[in-house]
Amino acid sequence: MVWPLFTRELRSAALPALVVACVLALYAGVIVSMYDPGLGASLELMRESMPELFAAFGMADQGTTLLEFLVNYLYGFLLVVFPLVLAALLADRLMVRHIERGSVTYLLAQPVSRTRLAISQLLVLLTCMVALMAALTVFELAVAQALFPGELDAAGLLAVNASTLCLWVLFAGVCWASACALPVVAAARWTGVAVCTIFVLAQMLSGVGDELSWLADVTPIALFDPLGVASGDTGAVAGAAALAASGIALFALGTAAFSRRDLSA
Amino acid sequence: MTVNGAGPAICARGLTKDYGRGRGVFGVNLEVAPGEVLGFLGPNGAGKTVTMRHLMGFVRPQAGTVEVLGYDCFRERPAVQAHLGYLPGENACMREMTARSFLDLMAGMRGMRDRSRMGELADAFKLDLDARIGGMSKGNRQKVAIVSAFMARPDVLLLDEPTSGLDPLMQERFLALVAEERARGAAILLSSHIFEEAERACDRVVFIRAGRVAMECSMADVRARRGRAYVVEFANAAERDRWARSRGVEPSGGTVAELRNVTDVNGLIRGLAPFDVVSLSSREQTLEELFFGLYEGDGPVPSPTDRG
Repeated sequence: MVWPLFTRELRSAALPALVVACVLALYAGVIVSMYDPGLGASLELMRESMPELFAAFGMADQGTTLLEFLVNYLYGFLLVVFPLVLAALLADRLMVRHIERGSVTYLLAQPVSRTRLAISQLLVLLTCMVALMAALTVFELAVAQALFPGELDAAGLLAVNASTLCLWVLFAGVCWASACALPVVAAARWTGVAVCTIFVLAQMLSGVGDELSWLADVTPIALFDPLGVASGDTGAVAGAAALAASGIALFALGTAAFSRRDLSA
Repeated sequence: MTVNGAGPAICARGLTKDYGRGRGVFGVNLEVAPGEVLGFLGPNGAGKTVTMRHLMGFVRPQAGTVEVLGYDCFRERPAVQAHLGYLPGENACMREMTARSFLDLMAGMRGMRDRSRMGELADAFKLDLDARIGGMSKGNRQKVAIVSAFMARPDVLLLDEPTSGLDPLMQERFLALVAEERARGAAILLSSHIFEEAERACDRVVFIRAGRVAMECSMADVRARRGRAYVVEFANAAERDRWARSRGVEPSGGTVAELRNVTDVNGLIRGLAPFDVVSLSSREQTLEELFFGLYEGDGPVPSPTDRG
């Protein structure tokens, strides 16, 4: 880690991370507040009237507990897409933009290895993702406690959020590898987010009908089973671990590629 | 000077990087000793910046070696950078930062505790450290880059088009700074296509064209090779054309002819005597003319030309 660079970049990344955190907190607050057994019946009616649409957004089942309700309405789409946008944005800011603008020249002109430099930038990305999840967890617990004291399974929520963080790590890994390894700026900027978007779209389409249900098995998002992790299902835990391990492998791949590549900045 | 303290501070041997379609560098050899300023001259696209990028370790050579103080520039980049100051040709300081925060970041990454030199250089170049870089003129952004390159008092300086955007007063200050660093013992490679800059700052010059070193000589040699250029103004275009035909040159219109690298002045005057000449003036040939003679011709000494 290069501490002066890390602190400077963290300050620069704080604003987009804060914006995404606020948006997610807003949705989380609204969805927790919607948890009402009486309203549940009307939501169930709505879900039955548009089953494909609800399924596409990962809301196939309303669930019976507050945790299941949250997972169905928040973790199927919103907590997948917004963190993906943040990961892509930060990978761009921390790596692609420096190469595109040529400011990487100044960073490389200092006596730190490329690997240290890349790890320092990567730690900013990871810090933001972890901080986002930590803030979200605290917020969810606080809102649930305020509105429905004792209803939310706190340990279950922590397990759900840990598995969600594993998915975010995968997304961040794909965006990071793309940002570090691809020589053309436009490709470095867009390939990672495009690949992740295809994963998400495939997952959404798989819920629409039986003909496309096979799509659910061909994306890494198939390994994302937060309620399974919360219930201690071994397969779900292994899936989450595989997501995190893949993300970490992609971080290593991207960092190694950056250390070896030619930079014509 | 190597890690052992002997030999050149900057050394490229047979450096080759082929980007295709004739672009790149091919078998470039360079050496710069401590306390020496080597001018690296050539037109845009000749391979100056590519060579600099190899010396900075941004690019891995296809063939040949590049070393700074005995360290391999690509494999031992952090060791090289610890002793090196770099002024890039493309000024790309982080525009959203103030000059002070940018320079503090660079100094922090370098582990520099003493920032007094930064303040001295900012004062010398009249740089407002609290201004945002994005709001600065090109010249002021160049000053930020100059302070960044020189503030650590490096043993080796790579300066790529260093006076780009500076006003004449600041160019003077910059050349004084280069002289000061040379006196301190720094090895300096100064890439430029502004020949007057090199002429004043450098001990030796290397001319590069199409990725290959075309000529290397001391500034004393360059000065010795320089002839004088004469500008002759004839009374009218017809008179000039008559003079051109007498020299076996195709008339090209106009009333003025310029003769470069004239060594036989008596012959020139005798040759002009039969013609109606309004004025005759002379000046020293510029390094640019010397270079273009090389660039257009076969050898290092340019042949006389005539233009109207």
